[in-house]
Amino acid sequence: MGVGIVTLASCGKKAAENEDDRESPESVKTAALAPVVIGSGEGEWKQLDDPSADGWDSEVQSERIKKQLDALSEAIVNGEISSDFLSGIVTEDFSSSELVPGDVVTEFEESGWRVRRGQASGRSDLAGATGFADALMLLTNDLGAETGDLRCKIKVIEFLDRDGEISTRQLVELSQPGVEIHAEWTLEWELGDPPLIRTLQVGKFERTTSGSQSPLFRDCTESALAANPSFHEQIAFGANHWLGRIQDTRKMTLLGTPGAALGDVNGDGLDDLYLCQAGGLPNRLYLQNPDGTVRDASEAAGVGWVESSRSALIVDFDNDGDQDLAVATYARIVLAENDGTGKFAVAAILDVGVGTMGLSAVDFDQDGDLDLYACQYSAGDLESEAGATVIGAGGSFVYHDANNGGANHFFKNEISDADGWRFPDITEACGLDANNRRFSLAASWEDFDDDGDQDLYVANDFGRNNLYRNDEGHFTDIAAQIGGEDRASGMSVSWGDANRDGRMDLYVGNMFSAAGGRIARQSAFSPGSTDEERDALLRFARGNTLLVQQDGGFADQSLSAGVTMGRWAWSSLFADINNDGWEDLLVANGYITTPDSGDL
Amino acid sequence: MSRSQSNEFSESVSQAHLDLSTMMKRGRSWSGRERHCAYLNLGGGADGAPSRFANVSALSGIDFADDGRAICLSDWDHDGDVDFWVSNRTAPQLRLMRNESAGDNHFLGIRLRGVQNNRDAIGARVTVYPVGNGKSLSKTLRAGDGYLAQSSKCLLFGLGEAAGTERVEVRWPRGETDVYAGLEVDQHLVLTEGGEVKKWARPQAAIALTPSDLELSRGSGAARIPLVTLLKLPAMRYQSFAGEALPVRASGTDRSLLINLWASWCAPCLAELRGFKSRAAELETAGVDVLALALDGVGADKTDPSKAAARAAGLQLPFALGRANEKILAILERLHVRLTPMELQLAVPMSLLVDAQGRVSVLYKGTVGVDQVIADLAHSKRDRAARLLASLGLGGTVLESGHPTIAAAADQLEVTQRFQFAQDMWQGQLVDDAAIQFRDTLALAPDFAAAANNLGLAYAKQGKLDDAVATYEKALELRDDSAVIHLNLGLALEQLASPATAERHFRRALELDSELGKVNNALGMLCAKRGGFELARAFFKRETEISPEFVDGHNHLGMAYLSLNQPKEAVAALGRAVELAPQHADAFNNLGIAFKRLGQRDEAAGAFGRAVELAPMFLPAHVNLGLIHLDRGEPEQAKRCFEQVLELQPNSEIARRNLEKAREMLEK
Repeated sequence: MGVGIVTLASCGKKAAENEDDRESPESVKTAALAPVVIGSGEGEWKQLDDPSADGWDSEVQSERIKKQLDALSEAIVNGEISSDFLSGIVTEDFSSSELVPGDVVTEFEESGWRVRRGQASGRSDLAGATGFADALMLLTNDLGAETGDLRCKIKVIEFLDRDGEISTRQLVELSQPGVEIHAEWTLEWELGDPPLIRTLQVGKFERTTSGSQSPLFRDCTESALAANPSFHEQIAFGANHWLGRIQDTRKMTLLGTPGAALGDVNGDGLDDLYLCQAGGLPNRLYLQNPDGTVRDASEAAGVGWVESSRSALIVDFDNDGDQDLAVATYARIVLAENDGTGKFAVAAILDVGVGTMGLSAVDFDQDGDLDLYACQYSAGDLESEAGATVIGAGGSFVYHDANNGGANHFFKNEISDADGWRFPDITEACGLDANNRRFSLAASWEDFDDDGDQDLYVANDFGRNNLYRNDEGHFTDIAAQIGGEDRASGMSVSWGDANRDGRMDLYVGNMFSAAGGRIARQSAFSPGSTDEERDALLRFARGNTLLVQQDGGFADQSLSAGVTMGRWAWSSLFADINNDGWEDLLVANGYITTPDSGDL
Repeated sequence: MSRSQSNEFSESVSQAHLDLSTMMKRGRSWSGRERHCAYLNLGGGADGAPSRFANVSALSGIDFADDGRAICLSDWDHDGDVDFWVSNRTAPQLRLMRNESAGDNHFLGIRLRGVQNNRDAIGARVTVYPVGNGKSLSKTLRAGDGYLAQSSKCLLFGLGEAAGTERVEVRWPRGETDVYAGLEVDQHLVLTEGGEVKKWARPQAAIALTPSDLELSRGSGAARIPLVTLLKLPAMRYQSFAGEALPVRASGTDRSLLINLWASWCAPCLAELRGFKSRAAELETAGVDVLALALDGVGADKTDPSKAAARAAGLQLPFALGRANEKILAILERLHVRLTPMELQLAVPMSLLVDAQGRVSVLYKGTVGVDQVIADLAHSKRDRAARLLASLGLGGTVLESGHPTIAAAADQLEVTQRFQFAQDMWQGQLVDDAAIQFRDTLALAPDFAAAANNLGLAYAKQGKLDDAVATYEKALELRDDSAVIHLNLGLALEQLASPATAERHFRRALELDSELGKVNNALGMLCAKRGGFELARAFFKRETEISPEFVDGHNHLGMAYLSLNQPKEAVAALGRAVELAPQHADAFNNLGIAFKRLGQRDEAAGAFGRAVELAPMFLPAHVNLGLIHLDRGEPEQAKRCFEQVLELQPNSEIARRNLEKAREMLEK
């Protein structure tokens, strides 16, 4: 960024003395000084985000195509579909399959829910802008309800260039209260400015109704939290507010790491909530009131720590009947003992590197107490964290290998009356140091092989995941042998029995990147890269993974089950949201949202 | 793909990630405004058949466009269906999503109590067998799953139409199994290890949760940021409106400085300045000097700078005034970047409070009042723990105060910030400031080898060679296996005329890293100085292979060739040098010599001419050019060359002698 000057305060007022004072600072808003002594200039910025500079011609086209599709969805939402408008979107000889396939069949019907699916075959007699207008009307009619809260999003996920013949594949999402449609469209384009759609082919089509005009989940945040000043002062603001104020310059702070844990800390039988915050912002403990609202007890409980924190667990470490607390703060895991009334005192501090992410507790050796596993992302040493460069006559030389992730830690619970809260690090001794230098984000325990002890699945960014089999307290990574590696951008782990065969399956949060899918297919991408590498990259952008346990290992059913599209996914969990006994899926996603106009 | 290949692959991914993070720091969206997803399990999928799901993201009502992170499941309101809390990166940082399922499906909530087992019964597997031969359901109680999340310890089983259970089996983590027959549904139960069953009833109170659309304040860009890490303000100079270059600092060592950035067109700035003026006496008494720096006409701002001067004169401001410049802005920008995670554009009005020790204590984005400034004089006197608490003023507890191991971790964060700011100063060629910042870094982290090396480098650049050597030696104590530090130490020793010790370190550097650039060059120079040109040539040759872009490698190789009387090879090496560095006068001069030895006088004249053009004070090149002119029978030009040399260096024997020759030729 060049050093630019903008004005901060609301500048409605005129400066007093001079007639020609500028009323508003608009004229300098975009002004940037020329690159200066220090720091990076405007040039670098352009290089980074101007697709044409990168040589991604397809991204430039894709950008134009996106504009057209955005205009189309906007018109659909606003009910402004006319052949006039559409003649600026499609060619004169436009042809299309039916937007609502004729052979849609009901696949599922249960307590109000109804899922219908189909796939269009061949061309219809729809033609030109008029035909498209009629087809779109049929499509929106298929949503059933009158116009209301109609939403429409058309997202390009694949861009194919066959000797100048451009086609794109996109996900089309349409919804109104009570109904939603998901379809895949393949479009062929006539390139120009603007590009025009020549043909449209509908692939998968899915229409689901819930039997209710009201969504299943409702946002009750305000009623739950609004009585607390900390909600208005702290929780109601997000990263875009705090990142310019807090002084937690950890690498991961930008990505957002507000870990959260539920547990009953005051013994009233109600779940309470602990929330982790970036440095300077106090962590918050919210106790549940009998009416479901919460009260801020951070101060009274002594756990409103301002040290940068990422994740927490609420469990009974010392088996005394109350819930203790583990919090991963900057470079240390803090264990705090509950005095039985919901007040905490620090009982142990475990030394780990600065990259701690998720925590999970387990009784791995069946000795009746809970041990603690901690995922490490970056290597966590000072030099790598500082990006330490030894500068010298010989040019710059970086000590660390940026690709060495942190070593995850496993701490054995040896709390005793004599020695207090002891948690020795047994990672190496128990075999968990194997394949243990990855960028780990999340781990979860499960006796997946039903042999009576707890095994461990670890989701790693940039590569293979681990599945450590527990054999009498010693662990072996068998992920590769049983199809559990899921080589992608692992963000989260959830175990659950997806098909109710009594065996636990896995849903792993990954990154679904439309841009990644678009780019990786281009020949301009990493010239000289092998097909294998390209496939691997495409796999990185494929999205979430469903691994279903079968005899002898895991089968990847992500694509056939249609559950890859979790966008840039973080927590991705099995949860039976309609109480029919089948585990559904919830995915929290979104990488970095800022007030800037575009989205990469 | 083998493991090692995968490492290379992840390296490129990781590089891409770094570029992304740069963009994000600058406030760009990336996969932002994405809506959360939900998939409904349509059943089936056993015995090898694929599982089936339908996308119900919209119908579920969870599809907020937040940057969601943790999801914690719980039947929060105990109405028998699963609710959840989700934490977000974006505002609001928490949402409670209440399940308002209207269906008639039955449920069973199960809480577990371990006795011999861990009391929470984490790891227990519960299997429910519904009445009517329905499929069984299994769930395991876990502590920690998803991403940075822990869900409720109450396991909630949806039972569909089944209005009862045949039995419920609990396999406790240590392996024993309890079987509970005929448990009734639609309730929450506590099952204790050993077989005890208790009904759990939530406290009597009406649930006060109601749906609403949150309206969030967008906030403003204005902020007061009391700093946790106190960095020394680098040396900067501004220009007074009278045109005098003055240092940015307080008038005395016991006084603080409020640096205010303003512009003539910024109304709030002017109001703020008037505010400072009206209470100038209080500021003065409190020990605060105000320095108001105008940004008019700085960089891309096109305002006529005289406007600021006129405006300031009109306001009759009773404190120091002047113009800011790009360097000041750049330094402040780096300061901001290193202390907060976002790279934000600087904006006016903006102020910085610098304490009596010259440390930046508080940043004000937007206007600040005099009372606030005076109150903030106390900030830099607080210890770090108190500064951290004060940084946002939202309360809380600092662990650092009572726990040295936490304080040590906090040190690391501070070290990181200091080190990175020091590197910024180095990259900006502010060597004195880099030295100060590296020294401050090292004071906090005496074992930080990179900081020691870099401080040594700054000393060397300042010409403090003894300090440099001592600091490098300290760095080597911390990290003896760093080739770069050995090289740096060797270079400093060489300048201190200790060639033997220097050579030892150069050779050690090569042992540690045979591919390290500039070591061979250094060794070549040592050899050349003692006349070992053949060995020198070999070192330089190796250097050009390792660092093909390193100009001096080629230049020195050319010189070695000249010394060994291999002008043809010298032309090739020197040609490469001037190709890489078309401004390199030395290399052109050497190239001229090589051409001359080959008898290519025209080319030689061209090269010398270029050298002279690039470096008009470079006397040997003038002499060489004159000699070539003599050679080519051009006494007029030769005469001019030698006269020029004599003008710069009147006692040059060679110039005088050849000037004579030129004159003689002219007379003839």
